[in-house]
Amino acid sequence: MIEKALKGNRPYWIWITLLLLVIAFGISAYAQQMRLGLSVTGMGDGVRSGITTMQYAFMAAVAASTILVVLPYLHDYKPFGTIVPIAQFLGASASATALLSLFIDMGKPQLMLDLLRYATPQSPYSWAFFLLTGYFLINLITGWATLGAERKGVPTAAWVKPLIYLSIPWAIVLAVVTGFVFVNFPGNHWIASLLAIRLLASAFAGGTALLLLIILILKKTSDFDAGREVTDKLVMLVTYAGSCAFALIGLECFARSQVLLLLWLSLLLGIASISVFFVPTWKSSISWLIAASAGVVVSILAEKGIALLYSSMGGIVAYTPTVKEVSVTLGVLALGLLFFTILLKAVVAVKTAD
Amino acid sequence: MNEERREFIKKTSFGFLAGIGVTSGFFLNFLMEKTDTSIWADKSIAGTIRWGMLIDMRKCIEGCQKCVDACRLAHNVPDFGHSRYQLEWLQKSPYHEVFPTSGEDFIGKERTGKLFPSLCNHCAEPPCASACPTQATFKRFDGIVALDYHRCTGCRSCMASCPYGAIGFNWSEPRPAIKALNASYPTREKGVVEKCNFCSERLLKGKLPACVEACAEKTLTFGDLNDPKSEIRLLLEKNQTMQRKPELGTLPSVFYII
Repeated sequence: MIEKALKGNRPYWIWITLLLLVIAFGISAYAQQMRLGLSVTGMGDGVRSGITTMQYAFMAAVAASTILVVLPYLHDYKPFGTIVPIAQFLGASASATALLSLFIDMGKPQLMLDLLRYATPQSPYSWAFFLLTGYFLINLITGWATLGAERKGVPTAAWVKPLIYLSIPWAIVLAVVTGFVFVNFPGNHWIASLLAIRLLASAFAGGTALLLLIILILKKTSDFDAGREVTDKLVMLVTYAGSCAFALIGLECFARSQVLLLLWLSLLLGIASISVFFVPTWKSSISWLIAASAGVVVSILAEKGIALLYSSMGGIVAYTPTVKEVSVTLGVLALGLLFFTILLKAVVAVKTAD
Repeated sequence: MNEERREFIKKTSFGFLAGIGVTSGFFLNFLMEKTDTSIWADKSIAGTIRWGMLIDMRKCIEGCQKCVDACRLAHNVPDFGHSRYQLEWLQKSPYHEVFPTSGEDFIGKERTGKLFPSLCNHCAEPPCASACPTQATFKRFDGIVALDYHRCTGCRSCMASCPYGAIGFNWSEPRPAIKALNASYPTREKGVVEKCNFCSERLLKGKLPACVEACAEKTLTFGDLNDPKSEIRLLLEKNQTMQRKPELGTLPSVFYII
């Protein structure tokens, strides 16, 4: 199926070239980071994490959210059948992007495998590495097996279903524990009362909104149409998860903080976007849906970013990302997008029987 | 492919892998350097010692940097000459940074206006050690929270979890930034964290930490918190002392008299 990625129209190749270009920029910036250390970034004393960590946090959330599509399908909600491979490949690509984002943020990336060798159960970072790697493999394998079976017109192999079942608790733990890594929280993450729920809700809202966005873009750019019922259901899921997430994020607006304005802006954007889904005429317009789901994505991304601005010593950090840092981060994003595009091409080819 | 041939390749590869596995079980030191364990023969029994420090601010002289300088020299702490990359094992910080949750309302300026020596608290419940994904940061048998620079992956989880900001990161190559090289302590490389180790290398030789030795005013008292007859315990009993952010439950081993 992978050979389908080698055939495409003009816009497809322009997109691929663009991604390769961004990746090349990223690699050249990363080479400098290897030579000069993390001093090429805007981080420093008191600023332990930057946009790379924000990307990691968001991508881990996106990966976890794909379970919202896989779960109804297991409950025999048939319409989601058409987008289950897309969700699984999105889960795999997002996990890979999150892992790579962790990797480029390491001081000594050559010791990456030591994270497996010395795995530590009480460390959220250790769990994040293990969970992301596992989630990547589970989604890639089950997605590929399901799609392959569909192409050949045979039933899916018996070992696939237990793996999909495993991915359900995996995703829920993934959403929470990967969040613990980036939150600057002195003391015990594991039992901080609101943190875990908020991470779960915002992951489901942001990730599902991104999936909705992808499906709508596919509808506009390819022959693949998931159908009205699927988009309606996804809208419902984003509305549910988003309402919970923005209510929980809203609680933080009552805390005294120097980033209150930013927080308010992201919250207003999120609530405004969710409101679009409540208006029937807007809900049936693709342009409105694209705008609203993009709004939810940006709002959740901003929430992840704002969380990084809190210093573990109290107060707010002063941080401006550098050009090199942005290049490396975008390079990783482009690599993830390239991986996703190739997988998506295979899905579209099989689904449209090309 | 021929079914038999396929089966044959499958079985031989499994056999080959199993062979390697068994061999490594028999030859444990295969590829590994032999360790001489005799040097740990007289190591103290776990749980019997807990090193701690008492900082008596009544004796600390303003503008004096002797402890900070001694620490820098003893451990090859780099000076990057840029506040953004600042890295200190021991530094003198204002009251609101050292005790941000203790409040400074109504306390006289003669007490809160000073610069307080601040260092790793060697907590009894260190959050950094539980955040570390590779156990590069760990609690030793004598209460010292130690760091293995070779195992550190530079993920900075410890920095995020430390409420005292006691851990620094080498954002660039530290060796050129060392002012005076001390050959008796290792230097670090870029991409790893570092922090105060309570001079464990000096304790091993029966010496006091470099900062304690450098302070002529005896501001710093170092000793075993588990020994009721130690000087530090007697001082703790007689004086009103405070710890940094005690509400977090990290149980710091560094105490202050302000």
